[in-house]
Amino acid sequence: MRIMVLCLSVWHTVFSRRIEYRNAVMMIKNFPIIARCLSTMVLCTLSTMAFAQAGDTVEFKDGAWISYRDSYRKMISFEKYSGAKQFLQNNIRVAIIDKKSSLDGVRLSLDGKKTHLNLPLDPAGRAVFPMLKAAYDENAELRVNRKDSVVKFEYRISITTRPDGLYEIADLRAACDQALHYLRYQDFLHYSLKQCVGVKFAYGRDQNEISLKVKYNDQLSAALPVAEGSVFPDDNYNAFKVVVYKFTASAESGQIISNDVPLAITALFE
Amino acid sequence: MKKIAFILLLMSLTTAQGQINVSDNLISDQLQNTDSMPEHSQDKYVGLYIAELPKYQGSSDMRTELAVDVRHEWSNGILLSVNSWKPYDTYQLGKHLSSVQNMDYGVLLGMGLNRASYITESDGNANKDWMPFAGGFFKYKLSEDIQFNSELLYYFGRFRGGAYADLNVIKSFPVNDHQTIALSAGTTLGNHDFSTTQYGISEAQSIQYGYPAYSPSAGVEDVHMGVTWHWNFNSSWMLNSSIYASHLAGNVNGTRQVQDANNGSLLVGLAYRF
Repeated sequence: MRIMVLCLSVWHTVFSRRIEYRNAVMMIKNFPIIARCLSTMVLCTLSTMAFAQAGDTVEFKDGAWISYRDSYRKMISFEKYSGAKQFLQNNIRVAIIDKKSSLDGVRLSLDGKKTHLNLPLDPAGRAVFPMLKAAYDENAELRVNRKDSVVKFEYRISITTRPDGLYEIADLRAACDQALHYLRYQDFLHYSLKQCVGVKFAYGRDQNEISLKVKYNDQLSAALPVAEGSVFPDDNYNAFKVVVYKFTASAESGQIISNDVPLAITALFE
Repeated sequence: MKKIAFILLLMSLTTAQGQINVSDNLISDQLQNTDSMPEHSQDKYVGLYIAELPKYQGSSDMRTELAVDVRHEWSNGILLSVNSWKPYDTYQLGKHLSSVQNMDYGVLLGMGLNRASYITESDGNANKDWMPFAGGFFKYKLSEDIQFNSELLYYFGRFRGGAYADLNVIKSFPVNDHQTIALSAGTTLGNHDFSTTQYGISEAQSIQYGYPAYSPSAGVEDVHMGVTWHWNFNSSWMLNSSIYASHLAGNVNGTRQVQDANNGSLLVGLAYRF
């Protein structure tokens, strides 16, 4: 606040005179004033930034952050959504945007005046979002110990995994539809023309001998091909093993059997 | 902090010398649902700007001044909004009637200042007058980045019968996690009573000030567009900048009090989120 008052007094001295102009040529003459105004602003904001960051821990200094309030308001919409969602999970996610980097050692924390919470990330970068009124009231921040040129925050819908590895194809289709309907509810223009085409099972790099098979009419298919890929279709971080299952009209009553629990299952749209 | 907000409010009362109808609240042009707040919580912004504004819409005389905007939302749906540079709806108290995912609408009560308040006697007027209004707002979010905002107001008191609407489409472009650039385009509409009270010159005024009498018609008052740039430094501080241009339509720009139908303005300032 002290800084704001200081800025005010600077402005008052610079701008205490009245400026008039009558035509476009005169407007150009006014630009230096705008420039002065901008530079004052930049100085003020830099000093406030320095002020604000003084209390930060070293690890999270200069790291990516977002406002907890903004995140809260995005995440709560899933809780309040009245449509079908029993196959879905909604997470905040730290996504790698720099391909040379990795999620190893990346930490997410929620920091306010009194709130200090470490939010564990799963190998896909997702965290369970805590709904805390206290953190909202404190106007807390979600911080990552990586720069925002390396990571970014996302809000992601994915399909819940099953410990027994047994997925009814009808359930997976319903799950994909649920995800699509929720995304349409959030962003109608972008998702209104999309259709569900399949699901993607993502596994960790260290998960060996992955086998995903389709069981239909008591017959087990050969294992679906495993490829290198990303958890979500638009990620640019491809350090996962993925198996894509595309929906077909014929195998609707079948099952998918996974011998290992995937990190995440995501819906595919086209 | 409350004291500071109060002081800023007082300043907004005394410092407003120019006006431009920058259509949307600088600090939160994104639709934010009140049902997405925790119970018994609030969201509050106070912004202080340096502004280059025309003395009044249609004036060729520019002013540099401090401008204030305040936005306070409560989880029960009550909202308070102050924009010192907005002429017709400067002070607003309202309530969200429904605020779910994509749609947000509610009622508004408030006061603005008569356009003549900014026109000095030598320019043909000197009647400073508050314009109390009742009305509503409607916002619809078409996608994550495209939004429609509107406001419809009906005036009371001396300006009874005046109705005013402000319609805008906003498209935002996220630059990164903390910076957004938003483009807006829109129009304001006024009925006959509104345009007459704001732009008309009666026979009596004509004789008093020596200006030719003028009777504007209802319809489009102006078309406008703006670019707003938001930059969040942390969860509390942000830098907001706005460039705004408007054109007064032929319905109302025939009076000699409109020296220039085209107006531009610039606002740069810091806002704090409590």
